[in-house]
Amino acid sequence: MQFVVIGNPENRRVTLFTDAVTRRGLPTPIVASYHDLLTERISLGDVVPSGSVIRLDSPGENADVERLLIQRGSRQTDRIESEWQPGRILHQRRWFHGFRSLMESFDGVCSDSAWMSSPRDIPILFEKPTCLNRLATAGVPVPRSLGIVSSFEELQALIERTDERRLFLKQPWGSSASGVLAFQTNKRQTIVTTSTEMVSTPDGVELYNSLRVRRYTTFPEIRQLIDTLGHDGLHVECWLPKAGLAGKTFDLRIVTIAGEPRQMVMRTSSGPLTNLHLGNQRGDLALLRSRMSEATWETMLETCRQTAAVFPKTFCLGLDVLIRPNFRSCAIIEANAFGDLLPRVWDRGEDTYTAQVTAWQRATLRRPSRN
Amino acid sequence: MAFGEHAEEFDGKKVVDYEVGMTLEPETTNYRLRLEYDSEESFSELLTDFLTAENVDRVTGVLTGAYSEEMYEESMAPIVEAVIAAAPRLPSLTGLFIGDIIYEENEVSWIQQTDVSPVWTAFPKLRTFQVRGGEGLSLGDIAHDQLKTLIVQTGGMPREILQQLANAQLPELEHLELYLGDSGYGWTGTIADVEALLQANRFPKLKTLGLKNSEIADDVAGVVSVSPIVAQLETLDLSLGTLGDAGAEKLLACENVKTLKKLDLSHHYMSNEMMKQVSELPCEVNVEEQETEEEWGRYVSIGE
Repeated sequence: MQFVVIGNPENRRVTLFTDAVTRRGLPTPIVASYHDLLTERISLGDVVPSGSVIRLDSPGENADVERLLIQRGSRQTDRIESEWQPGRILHQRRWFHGFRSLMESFDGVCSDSAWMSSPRDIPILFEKPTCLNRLATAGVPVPRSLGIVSSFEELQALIERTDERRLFLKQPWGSSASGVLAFQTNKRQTIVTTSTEMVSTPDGVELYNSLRVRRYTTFPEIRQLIDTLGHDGLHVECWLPKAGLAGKTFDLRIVTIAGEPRQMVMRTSSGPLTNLHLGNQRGDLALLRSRMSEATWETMLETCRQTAAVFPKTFCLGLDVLIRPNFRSCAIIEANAFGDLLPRVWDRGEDTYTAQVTAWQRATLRRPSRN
Repeated sequence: MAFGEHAEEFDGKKVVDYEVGMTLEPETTNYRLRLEYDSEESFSELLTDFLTAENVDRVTGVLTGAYSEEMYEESMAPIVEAVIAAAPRLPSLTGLFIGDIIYEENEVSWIQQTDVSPVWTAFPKLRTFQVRGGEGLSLGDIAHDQLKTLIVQTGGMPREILQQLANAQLPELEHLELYLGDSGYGWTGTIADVEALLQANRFPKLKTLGLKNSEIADDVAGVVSVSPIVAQLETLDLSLGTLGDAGAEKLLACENVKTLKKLDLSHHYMSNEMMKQVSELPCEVNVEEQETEEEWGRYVSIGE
């Protein structure tokens, strides 16, 4: 069984998967780098041997690849060269268009190989409003979507209309908390909690992904932040309260493989953003299990299965699962196409990468007709 | 200060969210009355069902939580009134927590509190009283001859609360815990108000004093260390605030600090050297969560 990984070769995701494959005694995976594909140094058809298993991995954490994707989704390449720098939140829409166009270019290619994740599904998973809508339609509990706004003024009108005052605003194509705003307002005050940093320059405000979570509380700042981020649209969701345990609120990252919930991590936080790279800590799963009834735990796992079933052609998903403060029900807040980077987290002795390899092998044995 | 979790235990018993139709087990359990987000029922429906449940007269602890989807605008006054009116149905009550609301439900500084002083006469057996949210809060004329534990949690405490406490009649009080907070979130007091409270010392049996989450923690440490109240304490808790070396110096210079059993200074800005010195005090010292001025980097989106 020859695996081919489409990814950024320097990224630990690729190394971790490669290690998992070789540990199983299988041939070393061939790596097709996003950089080479985007610059057309290679074409996928040339590097993928017939009958391979193709794994699509994240194009993230690589500034060059991010720039190339933005360029691919853009017609104004010159401006990007001068403005773009790592960590800057800019051109999210173009990035997504570039990424989707690359995925579309894979469609129908290597048809005698098997794709672990469908290049058609992945852009849907990256488009939060579409993804959330699919899940809601399938009956998966998700936060209520209130649509997309492009300015603070539109947001204010939406709040007036819906009377919803605690909201999550997310860039439709963002990931890893980039451009995510936890927004709450009462009649007197507004608080926005976010990892987005605003930097004023002579040319206007620039936004960056900061490792420090900030709270914006003044009207001009909040207006500027939302107007700037809203340029590419901001998806508005109702803020579903999360449960707290051991003094912190939390959610779960649960990886589904072949439709089954497997590895999980509890992400605890003193604020509304739980992403672990923002200084948050892993929580005590055993404590959580003891706090939830067996029936509720099983319902949560079933909700994960239900979610995975919405994307049957995507072998692995990283679900962000919220537990309600009463510990009796849950909701899916995000479904991530590349959400399997959970180092040192095991289920039945397997990390996420090993589990994917063995589950794929098992599935192939059951379906010998498949390549 | 963010309150991240609901109380799992209160006044010596585990806490369970009451649900309509639930069988009460008052010997082992205290009950929280709260509405889940998107809940169909109203708080008063939930309370009425609870008050008519079998054995409610044996319930010893009640906590109120989220009561409305617009609770950042709607005062808690009707909730408090309803609980007070329920007093005849709750003759065994020894523990009451008004406002067990977590950050994910409402900012602590946005909780619309009210005058909770009717509690003092409505529940004569009260041992533990806890309240969260400083906006609109009044403790009124505080007088209760059973109360052992009083906890007031705010994002910022109005100075009137400290003044009311300085006039309190709480002869049995053993545990006083105050979250003083931040002027950006409602703290209107000064160090003089803290000093006046300590000097008034209306609490002859006090064993635990918490003056927590203060933006003037160094000053608080200063007035505490010269206050005679420390001599009677077993636990002093100045955690969650901005305590630095200046405040710690004062504590080190205080003879009475040396007779404490426990000193909680967690979440602080002390230097490593000062942490070492206070850790050598002859009691249990908590200096966890050293805060520092960090350089913060940026990240390139991980692309999940």
